[in-house]
Amino acid sequence: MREPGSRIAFRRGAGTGFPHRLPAWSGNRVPASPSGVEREPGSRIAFRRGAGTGFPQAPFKQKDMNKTLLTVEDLTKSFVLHLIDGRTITPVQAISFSIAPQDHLLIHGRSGMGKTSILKCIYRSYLATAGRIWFTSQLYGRIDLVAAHDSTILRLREREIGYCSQFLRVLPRVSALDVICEPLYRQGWARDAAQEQGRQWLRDLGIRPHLWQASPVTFSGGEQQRINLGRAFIAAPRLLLLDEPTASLDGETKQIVVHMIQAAQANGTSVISVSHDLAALGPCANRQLALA
Amino acid sequence: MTWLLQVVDLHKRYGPGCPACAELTGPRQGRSQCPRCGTVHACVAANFSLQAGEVLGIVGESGSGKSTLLQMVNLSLPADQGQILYQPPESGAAVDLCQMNGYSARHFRNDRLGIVHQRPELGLNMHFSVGGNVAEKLLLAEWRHVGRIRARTSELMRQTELPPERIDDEPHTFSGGMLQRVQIAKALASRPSLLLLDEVTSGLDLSVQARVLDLIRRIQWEEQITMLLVSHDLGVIRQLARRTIVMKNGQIVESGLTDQIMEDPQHPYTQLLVSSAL
Repeated sequence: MREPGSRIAFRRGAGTGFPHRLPAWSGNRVPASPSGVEREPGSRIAFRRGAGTGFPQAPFKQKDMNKTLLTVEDLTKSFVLHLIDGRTITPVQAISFSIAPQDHLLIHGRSGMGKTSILKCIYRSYLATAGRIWFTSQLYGRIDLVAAHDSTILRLREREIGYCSQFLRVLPRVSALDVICEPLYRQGWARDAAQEQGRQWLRDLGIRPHLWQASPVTFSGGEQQRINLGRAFIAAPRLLLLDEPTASLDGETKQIVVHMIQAAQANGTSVISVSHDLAALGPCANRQLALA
Repeated sequence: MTWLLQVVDLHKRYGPGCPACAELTGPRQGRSQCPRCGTVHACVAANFSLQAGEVLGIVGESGSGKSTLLQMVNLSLPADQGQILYQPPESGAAVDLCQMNGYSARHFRNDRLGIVHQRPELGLNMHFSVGGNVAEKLLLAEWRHVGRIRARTSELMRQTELPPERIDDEPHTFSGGMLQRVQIAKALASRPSLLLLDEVTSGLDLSVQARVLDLIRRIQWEEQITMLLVSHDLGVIRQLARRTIVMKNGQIVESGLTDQIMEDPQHPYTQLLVSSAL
């Protein structure tokens, strides 16, 4: 950075705020690598509107219903336990399914059948051992989530794929308001606008205002789960992965969650949920996958 | 997506090397020193890229080559082979940092890089005042007006949660955590496009560690600065980095999203590392 008022004249790079002089070290230029993925010049990322959020959106069209949003083909996930005699465990074997926009697929089955592993393979917290997961992205077109570059996955997580884990895991020094707003910060929202949105979600989720500046680590299990859910829903992703979303919630809050899922669906979000709670989620799911 | 830095097939060795080196060293053999010729292979065929605005973590045990890699990116250690391509944010043409002469490398380091060392005495001149240390970086970036240098230094001290009224105090009167913050202030002085962090919280007690990490997280968030973070502590990596590289015996054994590395480690060494976390 040059000293303010310095006499050396710069031409500024367009919109970068960076001096466009040729520095001493720039003598040996080489062409940009063709492997770098570039966004189309002038292209804009389209968003969809979260319920009453004032969020910019590409309107959801009825014809999109005929398209497939996600196709899982012969998904297999094995864990090689190198520290325990190298044995292999395969909780998911050759699973295939697909979902369309606004679908809600409920995956259920006994514990240990690989329900959560399927969600984590889609979110890429787990690396699939075999198979393909095709996702129709607004940013990248049809893309295989198994083979996509890490940076592509991070971008998709910011913009298109949301995930709510079974347990909330956050830093003990971050307030509930900041925890719930984090996905909006990542999308580049201004802090004030994001927090206004976050406060609205906290109110809707029944979190009392005097808790908003406290860390969710100090909350009850049900309150933590509500924060966790709010964080997944707030950014209005196109695909929402929910792992036991109604676990540790009372009957009234379960109803709030069901309404949140239905509202998200109405806005074009597809939902894949994993749950044992068929009584609560069964009625709002239009498809079910039983693992046995 | 635009990458800021691309490391291609980077090597660093200490010694002449021999034809058997490749067979006798590496993670599989559990050593980076060749038993036949004594050559230490500190970094072997490192490949990765760093997107603008992201934090990439490098984790591994002592002697795995992570600091060597960082020093090569900082241009303070010459690479034996390979390329470090830097793509300036203001233009699309990449520059190979390994091909720079000493003069250009110094300019580049002052203009575009900032580094925070594990030990403050490596990054700070303990005989200069804190203000003098930060000013050193600004002077190297051709700042000359004393008033403006002091104003910028005070601003940086406030940003890094240091009391600006202590601008003229010597570093030895500061605590360990404060010295790390002085280093961060110095590293940020010239608004670098890449910040290198080498074990920044090692040796600090837990509450001070937390404050330094929070500060780094806040600065990254506000300035969207690209960071390359070296640590042996998975907790630090988990807090700051969204992608992680795992190194062992001079080689990258695994890389991926940080949550994937933590939840589904593939390499035996990574599994050991994750299972050893406290």
